[in-house]
Formats: sequence, structure tokens, C-alpha cells
Amino acid sequence: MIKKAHIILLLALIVTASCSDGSLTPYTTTGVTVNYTDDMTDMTISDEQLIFKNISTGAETTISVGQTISLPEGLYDCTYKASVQYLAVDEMAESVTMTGTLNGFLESIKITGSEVSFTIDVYLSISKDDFIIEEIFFTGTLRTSGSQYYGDSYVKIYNNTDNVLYADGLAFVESKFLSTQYYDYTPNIRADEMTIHAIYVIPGSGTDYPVQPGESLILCDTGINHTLANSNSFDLSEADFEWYDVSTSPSYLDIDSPTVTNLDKWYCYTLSFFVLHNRGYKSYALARIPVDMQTYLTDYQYTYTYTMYLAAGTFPMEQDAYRLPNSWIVDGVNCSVETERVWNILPASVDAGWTHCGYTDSDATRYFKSVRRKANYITEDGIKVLQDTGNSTDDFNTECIPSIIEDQQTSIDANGTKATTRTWDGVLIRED
Amino acid sequence: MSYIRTTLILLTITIQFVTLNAKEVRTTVIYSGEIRDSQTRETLPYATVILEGEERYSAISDDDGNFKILNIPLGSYNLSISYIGYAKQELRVSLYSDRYDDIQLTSDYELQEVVVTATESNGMTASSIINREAMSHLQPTSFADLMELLPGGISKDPNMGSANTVSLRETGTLSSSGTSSSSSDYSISSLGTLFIVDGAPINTDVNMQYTPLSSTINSSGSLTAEENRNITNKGVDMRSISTDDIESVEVIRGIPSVEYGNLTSGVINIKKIRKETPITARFKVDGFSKLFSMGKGFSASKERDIIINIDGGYLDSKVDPTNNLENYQRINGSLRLTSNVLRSSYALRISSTVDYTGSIDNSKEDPDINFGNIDEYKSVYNRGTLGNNLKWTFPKRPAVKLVDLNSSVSLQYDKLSQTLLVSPQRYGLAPTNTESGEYDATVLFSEYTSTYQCEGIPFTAYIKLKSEYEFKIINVNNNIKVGAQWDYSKNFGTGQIYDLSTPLSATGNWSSRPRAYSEIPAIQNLSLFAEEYLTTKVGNNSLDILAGVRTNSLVGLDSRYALHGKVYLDPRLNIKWSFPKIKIGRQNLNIALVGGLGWTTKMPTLNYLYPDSKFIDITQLAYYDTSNPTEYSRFNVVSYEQDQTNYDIEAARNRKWEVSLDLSYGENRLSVGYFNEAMSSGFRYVNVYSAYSYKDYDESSIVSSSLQSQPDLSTIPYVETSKLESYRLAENGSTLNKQGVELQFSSQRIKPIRTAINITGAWFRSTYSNSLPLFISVSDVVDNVSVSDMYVGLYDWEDGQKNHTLTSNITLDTQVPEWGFIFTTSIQTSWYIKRQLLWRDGTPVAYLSVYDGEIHPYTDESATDLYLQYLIISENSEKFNEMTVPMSLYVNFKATKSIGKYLSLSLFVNKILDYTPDYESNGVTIRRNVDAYFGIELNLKI
Repeated sequence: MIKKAHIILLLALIVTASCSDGSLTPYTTTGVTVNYTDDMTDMTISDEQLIFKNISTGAETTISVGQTISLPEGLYDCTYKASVQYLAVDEMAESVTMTGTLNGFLESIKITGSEVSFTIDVYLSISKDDFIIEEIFFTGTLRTSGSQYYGDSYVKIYNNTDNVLYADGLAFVESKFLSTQYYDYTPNIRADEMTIHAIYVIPGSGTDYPVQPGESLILCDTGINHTLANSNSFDLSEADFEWYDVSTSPSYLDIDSPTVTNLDKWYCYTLSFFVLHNRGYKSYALARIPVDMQTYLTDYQYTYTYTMYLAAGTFPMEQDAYRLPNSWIVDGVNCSVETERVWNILPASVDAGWTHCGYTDSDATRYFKSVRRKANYITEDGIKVLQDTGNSTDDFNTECIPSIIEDQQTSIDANGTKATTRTWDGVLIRED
Repeated sequence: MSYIRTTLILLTITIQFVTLNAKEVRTTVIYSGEIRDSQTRETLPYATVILEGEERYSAISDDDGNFKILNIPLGSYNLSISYIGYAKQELRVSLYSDRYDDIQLTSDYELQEVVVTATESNGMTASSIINREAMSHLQPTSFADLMELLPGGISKDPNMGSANTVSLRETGTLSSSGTSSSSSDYSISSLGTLFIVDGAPINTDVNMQYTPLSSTINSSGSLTAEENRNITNKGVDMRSISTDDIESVEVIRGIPSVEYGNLTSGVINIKKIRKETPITARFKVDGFSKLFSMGKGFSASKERDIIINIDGGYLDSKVDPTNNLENYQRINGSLRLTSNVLRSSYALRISSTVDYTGSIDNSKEDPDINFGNIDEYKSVYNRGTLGNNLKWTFPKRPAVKLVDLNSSVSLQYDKLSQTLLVSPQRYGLAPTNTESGEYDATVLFSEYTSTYQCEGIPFTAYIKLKSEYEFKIINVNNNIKVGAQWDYSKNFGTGQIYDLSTPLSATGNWSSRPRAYSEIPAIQNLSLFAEEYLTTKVGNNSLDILAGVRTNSLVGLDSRYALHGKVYLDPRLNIKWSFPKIKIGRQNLNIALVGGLGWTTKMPTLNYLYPDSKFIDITQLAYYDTSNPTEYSRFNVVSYEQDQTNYDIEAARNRKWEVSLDLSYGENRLSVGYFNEAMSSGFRYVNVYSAYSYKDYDESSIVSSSLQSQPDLSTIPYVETSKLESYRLAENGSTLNKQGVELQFSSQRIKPIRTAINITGAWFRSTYSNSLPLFISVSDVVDNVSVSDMYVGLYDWEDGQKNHTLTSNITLDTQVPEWGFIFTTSIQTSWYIKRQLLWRDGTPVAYLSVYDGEIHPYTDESATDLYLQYLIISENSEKFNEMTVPMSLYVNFKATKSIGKYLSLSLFVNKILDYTPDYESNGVTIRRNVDAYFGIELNLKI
């Protein structure tokens, strides 16, 4: 039972608004109240920052907490970040210093008039001692003709801890909602639960799939050598798991690769095969589900209503999906593209940011690219330590050459140009 | 066969009746004749003929300008013949024996005002007449444009990228934004409208130009170039009818004469130009199209009275002015001969036709998504018709009015070609079999170019023999019409041609196999009809009754069909009661009440009677060998050829009734009518589910490393299991109820402003729904098991919609004949469009289970079952609220100016002004944009 103490900190207050020194845009003094949603007793908070991003100009202003905030009038996204240190007791009953981050995110704040004040909820993000998403390759590849190929998408999950993790029972889910479309979904469960429409679970009895620190697992769509169907693709026959959609209809053809273990398919919305959203409008998460499949599928249904307002008219809708409590999520990543993004599907308590491959809708440059989590540093043993601050805007490198394409030195465009780089995380050059 | 015998006997009697000779001494004579234009030799229908002597006798000329007055006492009479736009002719005639005159009226053409709107006919049922002048002033691109002249019609921009089908007296199915959306479930609307050209029907029953991806054989047809243009089971595509050789069109919206059959909705009766004309040429240009046409009617022989009309036209149009990738072209040509032969005992009018219409639809994909520029759709339509009409009239026979023998044959050559770059994801499977059984499928590992062709050669033949008799009993005039009609149609095309190993879709529902259309039997329709038209006086009132019955049957049909030997009777009754004239001021007020009740029947088309088989393919083994995929992978499929013929299909029947009030005061006319039509047997395809067994091979038992070739099926363990699969049957499953009020008003010309006002308006309420419960499958997959493989719900809901529309069209028609100037302003208003989806209860009433193949009731317990819970389809109740699109008003201008003797210039601007206010829909403001549509044309007369 977590005791929730709400410590309210008033950061800045009232100075008269000024539009001096010839600037045409009036400035607004902004007061921010930070609301800690977790018990912060015995924790040391440092490097508190507020980043204001002007939505129309893209200009970013970083302000240390405590400073007076005076911003040009406009519409802003506000991100809160801080480091946390605290003492914990480990398995050996020794006291160790743990680090974590505090994250908060507020979208589309109107900062106008002489002064404005608002409250930002911040969440403690500490390492959950479980897998994190290392890479998502959702864009797919192109054939030499230029047409899309999408049997080769994959997700890499990583053991960023210093102990062995067991992947058995870990669920991979895709959100039902799109980050580019928001309706007033009723009832609204976003703060506490993720709305999902596909759930695939790693099989095993608990200790079947150990993963050493610094190692990854590849979860892929189809674990075959894709170069046969598309010479620009690559070989996934060595992947660890695949989401195989069994079907007896020749219309929906998925391949059950004999070399790659199938994920347990608990539920999927589609009769055909499941593919990751290839423009990257969905959110993905890894979760540990504490109940069995039967219980989950019967007790966690979510029926919601909303109304679509289009130029053509209004369309009242009612739909079904599954809900996944945020507390079960061990890692989640929001994806979108700049020009189309409307909201973050996962709340700041799971992911305070979002990442992307491509900048516009159906960006033709996005193919052959993935999002990869940044490496903080490489240990002497050659193990990379990935960044996990709970904010994917910071934690991920965008539009990277996918790690498998780098490893196999396969095509990076429709013309068949081969990959020559080798990196740890899409950016940091690997020298070995 | 007795049915055919009856027909033959009837025909023999008819012929004998004609040859009968009445030889008795007579005290009365028959005066008959034909009324024609002195210059063009064109016959003049509805001219008034009056004989003044001791008594007064009168007649109105019929559709072909013929008239006949019976029982005239011997003597001398003053004859007067009058017709609007022509100089009245008066002369003295002596009638001491039967007399036949060829009367020629001279047109006072010079300063004539013309009718540029549709006029409501004076007949026994609701019908609109559109003449040549109205068509020229409207400046149509195709026949579809004429529909705005009907009550409830509103001008539409041309839509040359999809088939233009007709709908009479209905709102049409609507999308949620109130725009029309076509649904093949209700294609009976257009299929049930009969198009007649110079007496011969345009028979579309054997048109089957589609691809296996279209909604004709696939329930999930998407809006592709092909789907939009697919006309199978939808009747006539009005784009293919050019208007430039048409003299007049009668659109019978109400209850047609029993002479017309194999229809449910109405009749569009097209009469082509058959008269002397100067060389006419028309050039039209608008944002979408260019049109050119030419025609000439000349007298080949004055003595032998032969008129030849020849004309042709070319249309090149785009679907969207800014898009060069999609277009529609049409070529038409026609040669018509009209001849009159006058003999002592009969007059014979011969009307022959050779017609050709060709059209090409082209559509290419946007180059951005058309890799290698391969994707292309092309549909070619060619139709040639030979028609011949022989009409005998018997001036000297008291009872026999005419014998009419109409025949035509037409041959079509249609070809649909589609090329597609197919990109299988992972891999694709192509079938290899054309019969039921277990097969290895062809595996498609990479992209390929698929070509598909559908070749149809519909041939139709038609013959209709009809005779009319008239006689008077006391003061009752009787006109009896009897006849028979036979229609034959067969498709001789090679049908669907493609390579099974490269189908149009590698992942779609490829359940089709190539099929030769020439192997499908022909359809023959046989009908007999008899009708009595009775006119009498009741005091000062006059009463007209038109009562008839028509039989409809398909002959030569296999005995397994419920339609085999079945004869449908269509009784139809129309009554008109005209009150005595009331003199008010200088003019007479005429009041008439018209009412009718009738049944109409449409037989199923070739596609409904003989649908393609569906091949249900189930994967038994899907083994992909990762180390040697091209050689060792093996995909085994069990295939069931499912016959989709519904032997129980019946004809679609529509019941119509209507009442209307016709008022005329001088030249002002008002007609208001209410109609009610009900049909619950419209054609639609309905999904049916059934369990199919298959072997589920255990792929995991195959050891890849030990394979030397493809795995041997006999060594792989399997379990025998089964799943539900669907196929489709053509059923009488659509309900279409139509009600409404139609109004037509035309004023006399208001002299000082030289303007006449014409108002049409209509309120329509149409309900579209299914008349049978529906099976619907869900797409959820639980624990790697597809729910729809095991259970399919049966929903007793109505999938349709209930729509209302209120429309008016006010046309101000200003004509200054001495300046050669016609100017019309029409104010077209859609007062509202309302649409409401019929309520659906998402909970099934029952479900079909794969385990026993039985239907079980769906209970509360079912709703908690892990799999059955998914059969409940969630629906937001707000979806079923009525949606209203409020008023929109458009103003259209059209002008025609004659320049000199030879030239006239026309232009039109549709939607030059509009009032389309923003409106709120569920709290959101909807803004409407309106683009003007305009064009110009030049007409030459030499």
C-alpha cells in the first residue's frame, strides 16, 4: 500500500507581464504547480527541469525549477524531468542507492494573457527490473518495384538489468487507438488502463527463456528468410519468437516458421494476420499479466462509445477492446508522426514522450527505418546500458537503420543500397 | 408446353379477327387517317380531329398520328384538325363511304414557343414527357442528365466514372452524410426499370462483366474502378444512351399498361427522331467532357413516302477535370428508315433501325501507388441492334384498329480487362484445381503481374405481336389490346479468362475459377397480355377505365427451379374520372381524378439464376521450409466446389397504387398525386454458412533437416476437423417500400414578361431493408482460434434504412421567339434529406455451431461463453437516430440564342448561386462547398 503524499511546490510567481524591448509577441508569466503522484519521502530530487515547446514555432525553452517563467504567448507542450535518488534494500539485505527519474507531460497548454498557472502531475519512473523495449521496426521494407512489404517487422526487447530475466509469460500488446485520432472515448480509462486489441504472450513455464544482462530477444512477425519474397528484406529465421496467426483460409497466409517459436496468441482483432501499424501511429507495451488467459479474456473486456465528427457528418460508434492495467506494464512506448499527432495514447506515468519513424503521414522515407533506444554508455565488458527515463522522446533515437539490417548488411532502400554502418543504438558507432 | 400452345392459339385468333370481313349494309361509316407535319413528314400524336354535322364527333390522334372515328352517319361534315404550333386546318368532307385521309398540317414554326421542361402526360397514370426542345435546352451529356426534369429530380454534375443507374420515385440508399450510396442489395430499383427504344426493350439480363473481386460475387467488394462501373444485375447504364437522336421520352412512373412487362419500377420509353430534318450538328464543351454529334433526316422517296434518318455522335469525358487517368468515351451511330405504305384495305407503317453504341471506360491508378505503371482497368462495350416494327392500320374495318409486330435482335461485345501488380506479403497461394478435391496449391513467392479478362457476348432477341380493336356498345367506347411477347437472351462470351496461377489477388478471397459464359443456358421470357380501355360518359362526367392483365413466365427453365412452369399474373387497373368543365372567366376549369392499382413482376437475371460456383478452399497443411522454401515447402488445400444456385428463387414483385388530381385552367395545369409501392421480394445475395471438414496436418512433426524433397503427406499425422465457411445465394431478400407525393405545375405564358412558370416537387419516403434474417460473422480471434470458424450468429435485424426527402424545382422559362432567345432559371431546392438506420439488435437470436451443424438459440448463458460472447455486435444507439441534412438551394441558368438562320448558341451554369447554410450535426458545424458546373454548346442547322 503506497501512501500518497501530495507535496505541492509553487515554483514561480507573478511578475508583471511585459512586452518591452520592441518584441511584438506579449510574454506571459507562468506559474507551474508540480504534483508528485508517488510517495517521495526519503527521496532526493535533483536537476528539476521544465521544457516548454511552442507547438506552432517548435521553439524549446528549458527552465530550471525555481526560475521565473516568462514565455511568449502561445500553445505549449510542457515536459517535466528530474532525477531521483533513494535508498533501498536489496536481496542480500544490504542498503543500496537506487536512481530513477520523475516524468511529467502536459499537452496543448494555452499560455496567454498576463499570467497563467497550471498543475503538472509527475510520476516516478524507476527501473522495474524487467525487460524494456530496445527497438521497434514497424515501417517494413520496399520491394525493388517500390511496393510495400510488411512481413518483416520486429520488436527487440532487452535485459537492461544486471541480473538474469525470464521472458516466460511476458506479453506484447498493441494499442487499439491511434495517436493521430482522438475521440471522447467513454468511459475514459486512459489514466489507469491501456486499451489494446492484440495481445501475444511469450510461452514458457517460468524459467524456459532466460535472458542474460545485456542480451536481447527478437519478437518478429514471421521468422523466415524474407529475401525470397523481397530481395530487399532480411533473414528473420534466427529470431526468438514470432506472432503466428494460424488460419485455415488460404486468403490469410501467415507462415509458421519451424525455426522460430510462436508466441501464444491470446486475442487479436483481425481474422487476417497481425502487422504492426506501418506508419507508426500506435503505442506498444510489454506487460506481466498476473491472471490466466481465460480470466483475462472474460474479465477485462472494455466497451466504449464515442462519436466521430467528420465533414461528412457525425458517426456515433460503439466498440469493444481489452483493457490492460498500466500497473501491469513493464515498459511502454508511444509512437506517432509530427504532422499528424493528436495525443499520447499512453499516459505520462508509462511514457511521458513519444517517438517516430518519419515526420508526415505516409512518409515515403520511413521504410527500412526503426526506433532504437539510446545507449547511455558501454561497459568495459562491451555491454550497452540503455537509457530508460520513462520518456521515449528522450530515450529513443529516431529513423535509425534497424539493428538487423546493420548486422546482415542488407538493403536500406528500394534500390538495394546495402547498409555499411554498425552502431550500438542507431547513432553511437560500434568499433568492433 | 401448354402455355406456348395457348399463345399460338391466341395469335391465330388475332390474325383471323383481322382478316374477317364485315359485308353487311351499313348506315354509318368510318373516318380515319393519319396526321403529319407537311414538311418533315413527322407524325403528330395527340392532334384533335373534329367532325361537325348534325352531331359532333371527335378523336385524338394516337402515338403514331393515327386516328379513327367510328359510327358516323352518312353525310357531309366540317372537318377541323388542330395541333399546338400548327395552323388549324378546316375543310368540308363528304362521308358516304369509309374514308382514310393523310392529313398534313403546316407548322407556324417561325415564331413558336417551345416546351423546355418535362410535361405531365394527360394519361391514365403518372408519367412525364420530355421532348426534343427540352433536351436541347438542357444540354445533356447523356440520358442520365434528363432525370432532373422528373418530380424530385435535381441537377447533378456528370459522374462518368461510374455506372449511372436510374431510380424512380425513391430517395435511393444514402450514406451518413445524406449523399447517395449505391448498394447492390437494392439494385432492383434500376434493374426493375424497363428501357424501351422505338418499342424494343434494352435487355440487360445476361450482362455479366465483372471481376471476382467485385460485389457481384464477393460480399466484401470495395469501391474500385471496376466496382463503380459494374452493371451486372443493375439494368441499364444511362451513360451509354446519347440523347441527340431522341425525339421524345416518356417516363412512366406510375402503373404502366400491361403491354409492358418484366419490370417492377417503371418504364422509360424512348422514341427516336423519324422525320425530315436539316443537317444538325452539336458541339458541346464543359469542364468534364467534349461532345460532338451530327444528324440528318431526309426523304428518300416522296412518292413512296420513305424517310431516312442518319445520325452519330462522339463523347469524350473525364471523371474529374483535373485527372487524366480516368475517362469515358462513347460513340454512337444510328440509321433509321420509316416508310408508309397505303393500300386500299390497310395502311402499313414500317420503322426499321440499325443502331450502334460503343463505349470505353479507362482507369489507371495514381502513379504514386502504381508501381511500374502496371495497374489498369479497361472496359469496352459494343452494342448493335437491328429493329423492325410493322404496324398495320385498317381504315375500313370498324373493329380492328391495328396490328403491330415489333421485333429486334441485338448483339453485344463486351470486354473487361484488368492488369494488376500483385505483391504477396510473405508469400501467396494460388489455386490449381477446377474441381472439388485435395490439392497442393501454387505458392507465389514474389510479385507478379496478373491479367484478367472477362468477355461477354450477350445476344438478345425480342418479338412482340399486338393487336387493338375498338367498338362501341351503347355509349361505351371500348378499345381492346391483346398480344404476346417473347424475349430470348443468351451470353455467348468466353467469360472469365485468366491464369489460375496468377489471380488478381494473392491474399483476397480467391474463391473463383474461370467460367465460360457460353455454357450457361439462355433465358426466355414469355408473356401474354390483354387490356381493355373503356371510355364512357356518366352524365356530364367522363369515365376512363384501363384494365388489363399480363402473364409472366420463364420458359425452358430446368425443372429444379421453383420458377419452372410458374406463371405470374400482373393485374393492373387505372381509372380516370373527369368532371364536367366549369367555366370561370374566359377559360374552362377541368378537374380529373386518376387512380390505379397494379402489380409488376421482374424475373431474375442470368447471374441470379446461374451464379458462379464458389470454391471453398481450406488449408490442410501449411509447411514452409525455412532452409529450402522454394522446393520443400508444401501447401495442401482441400477444395469444395459449392454450387451457389438458389433453385427456390422467385420473381421480384412490386405492388403499386396511386391517386392523383389533375386540374387545368386554360393552359395552366396542376397535377398532384400520391403513390405507394411495396416490394418484399427484391433480389439480393445472402450469406449462408455450412460446416466443411478438412484434415489439420501437424506441421511440427516435419523434420526439416531430414527432408530430401517435399514432405510426404502420408507420413504426417493429422486430425479430421471442420470449420464454418460461407457462400452466397441469390434470394428474394430485399424489401423496398416507396411512398410519396409528386407535384407538377405549369403555368400559361405570362405575356408581358414572356415567362412561364413550371414547378415540380416531390416528397419521397423510401424504406430499404432485408426481408430475411441475416448471418453475420465476426473477426475476433481468441487463443489462436477464429470465433467465426466455430460459430456464426443469426441476427434478426433490419440492415436497412428509412429515408425521406423533399425536393422542389421551380423553373422560370422566358422565351422571345422573335429574337430566337430562350432563357431559363431554375431554382432547385432540397428542403431536407432525412436518413435513419433501422434498429439493429447486436445480440443474435441464434447461432450456427460447427460442432453439430445445427442452429441453437442464443441465450444469456451464451453471452458469457468465452467464444460465443464475441457474437454480440456492439452498436451505439445514437447511430440509429434520424440524421437530417437541412435545406440546400441552387440556381441554374440556361440560355439558348439563335444567331442567324443556321446557328444557335447555348450555355448553362448550374449552381451559379447557392444557399447551403452551415448546420449543426451532433454538435459539430458542417460546412458545405458548392462548385458551379458550366458548359457551352453550338448547334448548327444547315
